[in-house]
This record gives sequence, structure tokens and C-alpha cells, in this order.
Amino acid sequence: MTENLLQIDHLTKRFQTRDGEVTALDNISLAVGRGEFVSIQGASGCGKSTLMLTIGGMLQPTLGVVRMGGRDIVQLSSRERTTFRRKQIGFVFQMFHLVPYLSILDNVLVGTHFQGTRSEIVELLTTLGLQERLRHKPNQLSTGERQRTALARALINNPPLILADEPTGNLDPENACEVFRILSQYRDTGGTVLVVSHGEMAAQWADRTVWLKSGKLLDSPTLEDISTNSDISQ
Amino acid sequence: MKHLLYLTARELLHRRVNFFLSTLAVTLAVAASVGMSYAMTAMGRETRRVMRDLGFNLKIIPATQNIDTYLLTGQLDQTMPEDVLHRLASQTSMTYNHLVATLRSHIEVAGYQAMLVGVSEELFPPGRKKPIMQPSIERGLVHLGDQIASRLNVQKGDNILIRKHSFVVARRAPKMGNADDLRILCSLADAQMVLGMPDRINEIQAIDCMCQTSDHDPRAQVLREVKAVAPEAEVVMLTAMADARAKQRQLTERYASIVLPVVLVISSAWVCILAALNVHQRREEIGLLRSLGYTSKSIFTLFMSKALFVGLAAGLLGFGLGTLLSTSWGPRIFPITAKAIRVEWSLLGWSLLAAPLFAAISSLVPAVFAVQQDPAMALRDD
Repeated sequence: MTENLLQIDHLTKRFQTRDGEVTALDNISLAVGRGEFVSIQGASGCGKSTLMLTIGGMLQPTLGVVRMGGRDIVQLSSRERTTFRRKQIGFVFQMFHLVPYLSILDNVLVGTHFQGTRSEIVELLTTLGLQERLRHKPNQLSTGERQRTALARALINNPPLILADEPTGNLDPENACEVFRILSQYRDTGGTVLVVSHGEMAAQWADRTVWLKSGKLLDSPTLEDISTNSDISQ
Repeated sequence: MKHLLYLTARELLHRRVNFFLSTLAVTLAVAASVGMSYAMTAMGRETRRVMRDLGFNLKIIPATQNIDTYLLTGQLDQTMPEDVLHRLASQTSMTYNHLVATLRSHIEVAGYQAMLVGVSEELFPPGRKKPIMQPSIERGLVHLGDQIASRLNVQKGDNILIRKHSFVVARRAPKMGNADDLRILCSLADAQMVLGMPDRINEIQAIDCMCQTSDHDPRAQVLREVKAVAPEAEVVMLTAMADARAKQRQLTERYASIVLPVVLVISSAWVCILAALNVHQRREEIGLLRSLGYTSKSIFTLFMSKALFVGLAAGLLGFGLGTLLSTSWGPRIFPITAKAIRVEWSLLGWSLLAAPLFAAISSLVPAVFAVQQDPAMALRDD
């Protein structure tokens, strides 16, 4: 049994909207072991992004505990959460969120708060096949290259946990496969990866898949639950 | 901090239009302020020059003097301590300058009526030394009016006796056709000695710059200043000749006091809107930086450092533009002191200080908004 890096207990997130209260996460409990690759599957709008942002300390839950490496990040101050995020978590987003006015090299450097050395960044980018693109701006790259740059930015600090929110949502199957291969390699070096996705490819690479529907984790999804996810049913 | 400045510099180069428009707004504000400063300085200088050329316009006399008698005859029969002169001359924040004390009295010299006038050396408040308007007279010398010199039948270099005191005639003035022809000018100390009135004076003449604009009545302003230092004195101001000039200056300053704030407010709003647009454009970037562990302080610094860059560039450009316009048009507007209109380098320092501050204040609300916006909202991809 692997030691748990991440322990989520009774996590609930409610939003107030004009039409009333919306429960985005409903009493979610989940444990993720150190060095584990977990895929969270669910349809669009089921709360996957909210879950990732809450785990990453970008959103405060309404109720519940998010414990990582023994620390309940919900109880941390805003400043402590910021520091925690910087050292412990690497984010990867569907839309890449690269800084448009920086070169690829600088985009990765931003991830290190400009503390990283050029040689280690170049080495990582070379590993990801971006050695010819160091001076290029994001708008000069293909979508696959952009996502690999975003991956480099997340991986450069070697964080214990990678949170990837639909990392292949904008990629063709070939590039999507490449992204999962990189994440899988990271898992193999001891990193923990949590991916939310509505596609089935993540499940093929993950050690374990859990299902999210209407803000709730499903212990054992029925075929109907799976088939309601149009992307999965494809 | 260094890397935030680097990010700012890269962003400025990337969003050039925003940078250009922000810098333009602050540049115009700085240029207007600099131009106004040149104009006010030139206007003050021009007014002072005109006032100086018109002669003494301020008379400070003993408060006990009957003002009606003085206005009707020009005669002064009261005195005040000479110390009043030194007290007034030691003040630093007064509007007057070129202080000269006199002691005068009708006397009889060899059976002829004359007016003895003792004149002190010209004094200036600290740090406001100017070329003297009235040369002082050395002790033992006198300057004679034409009429009295003729009556006494003396020429330059002759000796005369005034109340048993011997003096050398240093100058015989040309005929003036007025009371000056009967005047005997000497040093203040000699007049005090001859008249037996040590340390007494009965008038201080001065030039007021008429440069106060907060008050419609320059005399009231001077009176307040003088009374605060010398309660035993009264002020008579020859306002007629200076009034038009003062009013012109007041009008210009009031005009400036309306136009300049309007320019500043419009520029500030302009910068604020551009900064708000910039924050909106960078929502994702802010969210990303927060996800990477950048603190609120870093985000705030990022936007403030942009304002700093804009301010420094605008300070330099605004100073250049304001100076160029002022030195080009100024000499035509202020012909009397045209040569005195030169580049004021001290304004560059002020511009480089004030412009970043102005840009920072204008960008403050958008920067605070950038810090407070929910990064999770910007990063939601679903």
C-alpha cells in the first residue's frame, strides 16, 4: 500500500448564483497515493475544474479537508497557500495559459520564479522536443508544442503533485498521447499525477480512474453513467 | 523584484499601443504642468521686472503718522526705530524687496530752506539679493538738488556746513523742477546725527512684486506681513501703477488653476481606463501567476512597475515637450524678460518624480482590482 500524498475528506463547494445556490462539489472524499497517476473522468460541467482548483488551493471549499503531505491546505492563510502551491503543485491547463509576450524559455522560467538555471530549462525543453523553439513566442507554436511548454513549466520545479485540468482537451490524439506519456514518465520518477478529463485516453494511462458526476464521486459507475458522457461514449 | 521588472518590460514591448497611449496621457499632463510652471515663473519675473522699473511702490511709515497729512503734503512728522528696517529685511517669505530706510526733515542751511534726506543702504531679505536700485551715500558726503546748490553757490567737491557738521558735495543733481531741487541727500547715519535722532527713521521704501494671487488686495497681504513683524508700522502702497499687472497675473493664475486640474483629471482618468483594460487583458496571466505561487504583492508590484515605467518615460517626454513649447513661445508672450526664459533643469527632476507618482495613483484602483480578482475564474477552462 502506497503512502497517501493527497487525502480529501468530505469536500464540498457551493457557489451562490442569481438563480440560487449551486453545489459544484458534493461531499467528495478521495485518497491519492504518492507516485500514483489518477484520472478523474466526468462530463463537462460536472465539477472537475472546481475540484482541481480547490485541491490546488486556488478555491476555498465550503466544507471539507484537503490534506497534502500531512498539511490541511484549507486551513492555511492565503499567503501560506500561495507558498505551498509554489513549492508543492504544478498546474497544467487545457488552454495552456502561456504568457503571450514571453519566449518559451521565459515561460518556463516564470514557473521557477526566475530561480531556475537556463541549462536545466533547456535540458527539460530538449527532452520535450522543444529545443528548436526556445526563443519562439507561444503564438509561433503548434498547440501540441504549447501544451508541452506548459508541461515543462509545471515539471521544472519537480513538484510532488501535478494537477492537470483537461490537458489534452485541445490536442489531436497524437499530441494527447505525447502529453500522457510525459505525465506517465513523471509518475515513474516518483511524482504524483492527478488528471481530470472527459476523454477516455487518460484512463488508459492512469493507474486508477474515478468518476465524477454532478459534483459527486461515483464509487462504481454504471454503464449509463459512463454513456451519459458523450465524449466517453465515442 | 528584478524579474517582475523584466516581465513588465517585456509586456510593455508586447502591448505597445497600451504603453503608447498611457505614456501619451501622462506626457500631456506633465507637459501641461511644466508649461504652466514656465509660464507662472515667467509671468512672475515679468511682473517683478515691470514693478522694479516703475520704482518703489511700497512705503512703510510709522503707524502713529497722520495719514491724511502724509497723503496731502507728503510730509512725515513721526518716526519709528531703525530696527524696523532690519526686522523686515530679515524675513524670508515676504513679497517685497529692495528695502531702503529714510529719515527726512525740513532744515535751514545758511538761511535757506531745504529738505534733508538720510538714506540707508539697500537691504534684501535673505537669499534674495538683487542688483541695487539706489546707490548708498558714504558718510560725510552729500548730494545736492540744483536749487539749494545754487542758493549755497557750491559745486561738486566743495564743503558745506549743515547744523555745524561739515560735508563734502559729492554730486550736484540736474534741475528737476520739483521738490527734489531743494533736497540734500546724505547717509542715514549722517541725517540721524545732524537731526539728533539716533536710530530713528520715518519711512521705509520697498518694491512689492505684486505677485500674490491668493488675495485680491495686495496691500492687505503686505500689511499682514509687515504688521506681524513690525506692529508699529503702517503700509501705503502705490497700487494704481501695479494694479493692472497684478490683476493680469491673478487672472492667469486663476485660469491655470482651472485648466491644469482639468488636464490632470482627464489624463488620470485616461491612464486609469487603460490600466483597467490592461488588467482585463491580463486576467489569464494573473490567474496563471497566482497558480504558480506569485503573491498578491507580486501582482500589485507588476502593475505598479508598469506605471513606474510609463511615468518615467512620460516624465522625460513631458519635460521635453513642455520645455520645448515654453522656450519657443515664451519669449513672444513675455518679451520684457524673454532672455531669462531658459531650460529649467530642476523641472526635469520634479517631472521624473511626479510623473511616476501620477501614473501610479491613476493605476492604483485597477492594480488593486487585479490583486483582488478571483484567479480561479480566469483559469476555468470549462
